[in-house]
Amino acid sequence: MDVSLLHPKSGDFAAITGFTLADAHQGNASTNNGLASEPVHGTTVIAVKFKDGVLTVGDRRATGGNAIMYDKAEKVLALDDTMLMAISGAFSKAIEFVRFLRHSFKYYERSQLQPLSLDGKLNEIGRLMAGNLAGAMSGGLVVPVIAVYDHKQAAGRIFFYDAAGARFENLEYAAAGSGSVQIRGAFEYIVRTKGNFSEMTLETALAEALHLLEIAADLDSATGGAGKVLPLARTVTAAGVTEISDDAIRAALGASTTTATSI
Amino acid sequence: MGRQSDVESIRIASIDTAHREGFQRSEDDVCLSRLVGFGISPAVKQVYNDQRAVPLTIRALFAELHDSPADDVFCTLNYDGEYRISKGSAVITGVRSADESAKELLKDAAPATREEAIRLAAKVWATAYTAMRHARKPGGDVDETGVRLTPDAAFKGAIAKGLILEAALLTRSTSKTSRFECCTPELVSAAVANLDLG
Repeated sequence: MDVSLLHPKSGDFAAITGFTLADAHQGNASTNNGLASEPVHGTTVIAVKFKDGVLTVGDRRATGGNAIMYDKAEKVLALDDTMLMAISGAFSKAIEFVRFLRHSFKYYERSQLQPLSLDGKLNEIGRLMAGNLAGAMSGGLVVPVIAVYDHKQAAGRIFFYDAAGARFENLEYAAAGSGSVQIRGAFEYIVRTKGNFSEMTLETALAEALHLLEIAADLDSATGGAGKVLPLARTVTAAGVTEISDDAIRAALGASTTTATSI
Repeated sequence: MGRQSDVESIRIASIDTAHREGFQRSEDDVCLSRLVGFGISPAVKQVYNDQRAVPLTIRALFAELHDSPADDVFCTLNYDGEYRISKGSAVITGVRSADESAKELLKDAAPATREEAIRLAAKVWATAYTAMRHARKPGGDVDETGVRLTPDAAFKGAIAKGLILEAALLTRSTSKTSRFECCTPELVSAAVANLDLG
């Protein structure tokens, strides 16, 4: 019989579960998964604004060193009804982050009878990133892209973090993972020649984002192309989180994909 | 129902226990019978049996949603830690006669829609409310001339004087991350407005 149950801990999820940031420092470059000499990593994720919110897409590949470990990885995950986290980097750590944050946000809302503020959620992610710094230095780096719908501003917003937990807000787009480097300039090209993503319809933004992901797959061996497994695409808008259907992705890919390549 | 601070203790203890289990194991491992039977009930009973402690002034009703209505589980918990698991429906009130009136109405009831369920719940609540008033005030409520009011008139009079009902739903299929949904005041008012208690 645990009478201490009746003495609440002020809505502190880490306190009730015993989760500590030290537990998150398990990233280890020497981790051997049996097939590859490095831990499993997620590769390329992209977030772009569109006129009703934010669209986030990710390829499905997870790699360990040079080995393709999995081709159906989900790297665009909902933390709640207003926030998506697209993950790249150490997969095990990223999934644990997502699990902790989902429970933590829900626990706060249920125990305190009000949702955690957007700033509170973003700070919690920053604390988690900062707590994982030692793990990040030894191969457990997680690079999240956060897509949210801010009901106060009535607009979609995109954030990313560095390894030490510093938070940055992007105006139009963000990308992370090994394939993001190769396509960085292409985002700017689209904005300068076609206009802001935030003024595009979902269909246009989806076609552009999938096109960028295909370019990343062409130029980065760790990024999976749409030919084998369709990418995952989710939006966050005032209505909540919605998954884009495979049919819509196929249609957008048909509109965006060309066979031309310079390599 | 009960003293607000004690209600909060039980509410937070339940949330803490469910979330701890859900995070350390899985959401699939959280169930009402274990939550109440192995967590909350023993703690409440220990407080009740402790001569140096003040017993909790609560009665609590828990509901657990499953894929099929036939599998839904209800649990009522008493101030002494005793609890009862049931299927179909559950009621807690302040007096035994109100409990019985409410259970009689719920027996064999099977509302098919959300609106029917809210109307049924409102009717059961109103019936229990008037039964409780009657138990506490023999002879029942009377008007300003001393004439006894019908249950219907007594309840509608109380609503007119500012009595507010609140209601919440657990939604079986939803795209949201939470199945809990507070009913809007308009929905509750509409259900109450058309009640006929006789």
